[in-house]
Amino acid sequence: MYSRNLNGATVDLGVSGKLWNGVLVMFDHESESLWTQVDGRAIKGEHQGERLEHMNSEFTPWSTWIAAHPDTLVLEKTEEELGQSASHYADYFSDPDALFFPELGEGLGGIAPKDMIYGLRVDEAALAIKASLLESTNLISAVVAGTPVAIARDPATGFAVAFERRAASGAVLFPATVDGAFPTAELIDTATGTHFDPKSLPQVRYDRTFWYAYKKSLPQVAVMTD
Amino acid sequence: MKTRLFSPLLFTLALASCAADGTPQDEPERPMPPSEMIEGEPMYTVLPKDAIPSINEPTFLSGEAAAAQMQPNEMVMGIVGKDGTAKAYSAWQLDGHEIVNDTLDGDPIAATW
Repeated sequence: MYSRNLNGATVDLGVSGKLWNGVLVMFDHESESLWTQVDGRAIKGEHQGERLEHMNSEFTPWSTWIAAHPDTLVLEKTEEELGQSASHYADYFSDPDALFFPELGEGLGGIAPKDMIYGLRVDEAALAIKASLLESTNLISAVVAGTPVAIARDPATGFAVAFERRAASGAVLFPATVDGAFPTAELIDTATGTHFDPKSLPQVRYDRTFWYAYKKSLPQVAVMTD
Repeated sequence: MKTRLFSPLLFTLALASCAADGTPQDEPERPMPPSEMIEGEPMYTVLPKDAIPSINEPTFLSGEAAAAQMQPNEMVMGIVGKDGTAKAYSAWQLDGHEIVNDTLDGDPIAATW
């Protein structure tokens, strides 16, 4: 998800009908600039090189979301949209070999194109972590572009939070425990013994997506190996 | 945001990869040559602009009222705003829209699928 606030003005986005690196290309009605969905970056037009501000979100079954957020609002369906029993693209999601262009699977290193990854972003830098790795540990610390960061995952819901491991004092924080992973995990400033709630720290952009799309969109991405 | 990496655009490409008799081909045929190269990568124009209509005036139900329109295993994108408002967007529904131009706690946002 993205903010539509661009330089203080609101942009209205639409579907351009174009694909780039296998990914949806959006356009804004105001300038007709083209925006790639994975990065949120304008690749053509007046805003070329600018980015929409990304907003972290969850991708989760309805049953999990409503249990966690009973007061949620839900986008209303039209009559024609009722009664759907699966995604139109369920096969594309489940088939590890399903790529629309074979070349999208090339040049990806040791990770399979359709492997799901969590990508952490700090400025222009990106770090990819295989989803299976996070799902087995629920808490991973790293340094991206010189910034100490971490991503924690709630094993009960799969919800994630990514944040800077740095106190206002500048002290680098370390996970106090892996067992008590998010949402109860705390970070500790080992110098002072102070504990921090991850949600109280500056949040870090993360995307959960297919490896091929992330790598094609962000060729500079580094990979955490397990 | 999750982000998602497939779309009805791709569905269109899948259709285009079938021969006239409907037999799948090993090597997908491009529906058309790349319309242009951007940063060294081809960009394909596979549908007219707005052929997939974004949702621009979204309406919302309460979670309780939405129970009738949602399946338990239906994937949603969920987000919580700065004032605590939670919103969910069905990925199945967004297959046909890709983008919702919305607001969240007063901020203009786009749910993109």
